Amino acid sequence: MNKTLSSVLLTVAIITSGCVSIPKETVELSEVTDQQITELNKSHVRFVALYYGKLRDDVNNFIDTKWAPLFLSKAVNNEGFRKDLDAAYITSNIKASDISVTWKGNALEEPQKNVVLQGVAQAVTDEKGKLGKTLLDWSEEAQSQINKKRQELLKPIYEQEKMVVDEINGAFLDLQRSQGAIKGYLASAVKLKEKNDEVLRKLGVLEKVGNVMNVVSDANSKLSSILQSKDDTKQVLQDFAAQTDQTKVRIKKAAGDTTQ
Amino acid sequence: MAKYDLRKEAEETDIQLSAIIAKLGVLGKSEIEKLLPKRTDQKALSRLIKAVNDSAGENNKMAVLSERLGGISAAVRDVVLKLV
Repeated sequence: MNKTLSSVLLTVAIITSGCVSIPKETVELSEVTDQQITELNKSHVRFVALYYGKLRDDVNNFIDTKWAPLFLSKAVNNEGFRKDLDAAYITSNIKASDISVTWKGNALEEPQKNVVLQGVAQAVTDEKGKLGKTLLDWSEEAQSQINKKRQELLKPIYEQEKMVVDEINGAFLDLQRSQGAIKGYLASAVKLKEKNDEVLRKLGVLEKVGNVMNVVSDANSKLSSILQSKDDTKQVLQDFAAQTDQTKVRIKKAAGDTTQ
Repeated sequence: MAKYDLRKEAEETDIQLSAIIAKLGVLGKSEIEKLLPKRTDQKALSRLIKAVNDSAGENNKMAVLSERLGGISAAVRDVVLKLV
């Protein structure tokens, strides 16, 4: 039994050696730090979004108020568009009342005149349709150029914003990984200290048990010697009683009982 | 294919507004590099984290061992106290 107790005491002593005192509040502080890191990360990303949002606003404002108006003023004078537009415009504005119809040098009379004018009216209607289509074709291409310019200026802004956010998030991730490892270590150290403190508290009892056992073992030897002595019986009994009383006192003292 | 080719007019607009367009650009490479956080060497970081995690693992094992030793000592205590 003593050998077992000694082994236990030795093992625990080895385990508890080298321990550093770490209050459990360090783990709580580490968790608070975790939260702060997350908040800082979000804050940084918000600032980045704010900055690049402003850049995008500047681009859109520039396109809407400067680039598009100047471009359109040039685009309306596009040679091909102008040619088709002028032709369609003149034709679509022809009125029957402005036409004088002659045939072989003589003014054409009704109903032939009416037939010719109806034909002209139909052609004018068709030309109005062409005018509409000309304007539509031009508008679509003009809008396409404006959209293209806008995207050309916005694309690098989106790309750089993504790159910056990725870098910031990457750096914070490194920080969180490190913080996580430190928190894990602190938690393990706090846990180990708590368990060791428990063992140390129980060690106090073990030590007492060990001391009591030593007293009992010693008393046993002495009592045996007394019983085996060749002194007279009365003396033996007196010695035995005295030794027993002493043993009781010693046991109490070994167990930490300070009362008499 | 669009009926009207307005690319020439777009290019002329770019040229005329080039000074403003230049100012609308994003931050230059050197400016960005100054602003971005410097990243830790990833290999070194991983090595350090592993070392700390390994130590934490050892502590947790020792905590379990301490707990078991506490159980053994209680059993021994009870038996021995009965004997005394």
